[in-house]
Amino acid sequence: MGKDKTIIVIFGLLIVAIAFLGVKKMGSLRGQIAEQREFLGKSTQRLEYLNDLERSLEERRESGRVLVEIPRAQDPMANKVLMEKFIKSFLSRLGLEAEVKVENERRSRDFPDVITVNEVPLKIGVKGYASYDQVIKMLKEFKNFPFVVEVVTIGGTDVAVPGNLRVQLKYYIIPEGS
Amino acid sequence: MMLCMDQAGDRFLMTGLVKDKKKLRVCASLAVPVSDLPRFFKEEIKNLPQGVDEIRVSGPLENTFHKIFVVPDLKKKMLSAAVETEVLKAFGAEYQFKDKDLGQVPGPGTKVNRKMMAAGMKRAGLEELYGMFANSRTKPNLYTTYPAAVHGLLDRLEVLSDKPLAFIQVEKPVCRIVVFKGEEIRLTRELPVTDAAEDAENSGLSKDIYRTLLFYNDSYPEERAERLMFAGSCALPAMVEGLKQKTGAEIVPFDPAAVFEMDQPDSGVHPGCLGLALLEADRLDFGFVPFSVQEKRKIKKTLVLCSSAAAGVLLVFILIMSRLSFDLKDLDAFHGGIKGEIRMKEDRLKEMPLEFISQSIEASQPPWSEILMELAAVVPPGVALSTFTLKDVKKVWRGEVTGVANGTDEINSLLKVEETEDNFTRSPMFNSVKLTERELQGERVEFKIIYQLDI
Repeated sequence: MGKDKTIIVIFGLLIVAIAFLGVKKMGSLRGQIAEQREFLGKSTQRLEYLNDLERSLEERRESGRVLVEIPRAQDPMANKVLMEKFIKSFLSRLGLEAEVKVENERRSRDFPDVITVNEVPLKIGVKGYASYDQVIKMLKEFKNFPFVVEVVTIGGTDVAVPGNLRVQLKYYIIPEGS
Repeated sequence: MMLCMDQAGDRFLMTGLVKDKKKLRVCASLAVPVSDLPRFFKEEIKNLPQGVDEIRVSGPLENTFHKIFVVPDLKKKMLSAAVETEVLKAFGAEYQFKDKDLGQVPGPGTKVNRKMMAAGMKRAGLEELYGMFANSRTKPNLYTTYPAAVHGLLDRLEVLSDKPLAFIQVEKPVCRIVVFKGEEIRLTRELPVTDAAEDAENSGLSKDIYRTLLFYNDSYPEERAERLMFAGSCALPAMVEGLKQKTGAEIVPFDPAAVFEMDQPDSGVHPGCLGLALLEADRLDFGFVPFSVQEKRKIKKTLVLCSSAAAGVLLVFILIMSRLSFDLKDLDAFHGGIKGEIRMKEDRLKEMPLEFISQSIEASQPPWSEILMELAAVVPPGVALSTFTLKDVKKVWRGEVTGVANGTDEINSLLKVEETEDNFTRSPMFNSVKLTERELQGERVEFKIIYQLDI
């Protein structure tokens, strides 16, 4: 093989190597760009969601549509007692006699990590009620406080507390200093 | 300075020229034995009045041929092939040659032929010539034959015409005779010059020159060398006069001063060198390049082309990758900005936890009154619900009701169960309604319906 052909072959191989590495690197960069665009899309969506949320929360704050918190003590045991008493008096005001089980306070997983919220699981067993209206009123009244109903059963046994109308719910607490 | 070198026998006749205004000025004229050339390039070249930046060379006459061929009028490529065949036939394969088209000539009958002139140099001779410049910093950029160089000079002196002209350079160690007719180089001959004085007396060289002219007349019977031009320090007046009388030819004076300026008018003038200086390298018909040089140039060209291609490909990839990198950087920066904004928003949200909880509860809790009212509406008369349950299972409210249908008979009770199921299905509040259990208890039917809430 002549010298010029050798040179052509060597440079041909060099060009092929450059092209191979170049295409590989380009592919990797394109992959990174696509990935980054995907992240960017998600972040943009999240930002839009947060903007909407912020606007909505601001409106809520300005309009005063904010739930009322139940007074709390420093001691957890005292808090449990306070909570039980509060629910019982709350229900008796509605003409309902009930058994209330208050569990220990724990970190809630119902909210994003952005805010720290604790929850107190509650079980209420109402022995008897006069009408549907009483039940509806009770459920409506819950909406004035940071209660979230998880299970409602009439005549069922899905909530482990004695009673004809049983409700399982959570009370959300914003921990001190969060 | 341009150094023109004309190899005559065992010597190189050299002339150094510089371009002065529009004329070429001869600033050095010397003769160096071929064997002394390495020493010349090593030591003596420094003694020249100016530095050498260009070298032109004409090879020894004995290593060259000049021949006119008449070939059929063909296309350019075929014409070249025909000339090549003729050259191979006449001189063999040891010559590197070039041809020049001298135009059409009438052929036999109505046919037209083409006159082609070929000039060649022995390949080995050319390589040898190239090898002589191994010690020279400047390499020759033009190799040609002595007749081609002289033709350039005589053309500039405007002495070439249709009348044949015999140019005779008598210079030790050789006398060179070239007969020109117009553009054609018709005959070349090299004769040894022994002693100028002796030769003038006994006319030994004169006889050889005369015989050469007679040979030309024999080769071209319809014409004869009508004009003679003498050059060289050994062309003595007695010899010139003798040849004039013998041939009856006209003596054309050799006067290079019309074209060149001479620093020292009496210094030896080398016509071959002057001719070389006048040639235009890019328009020269009989310029030769040694194969080794051609090979080097080819390799250099291939190297330049290949490296340019590789550099081009590399550059293209670098440009594309830089563009992509910049895009990625921009995206990173933009994403960074959005992330910062998100962090700010999240910090702001931390300041409104109660509002957040309120909103979350409001969004997740079903409208209890509407549900219970709807439940009362979908249960037809004769059907009593035993249980009603609604659970939040991973953000989906799933419910079930159990009850008893009490018709007048079994069929009626079953129809009431179906009616209950239909009512659930038609209700806009419930979806995914399914009757999962149905059991006859005498005339009554116990049932279970599961559903989901649409909130």
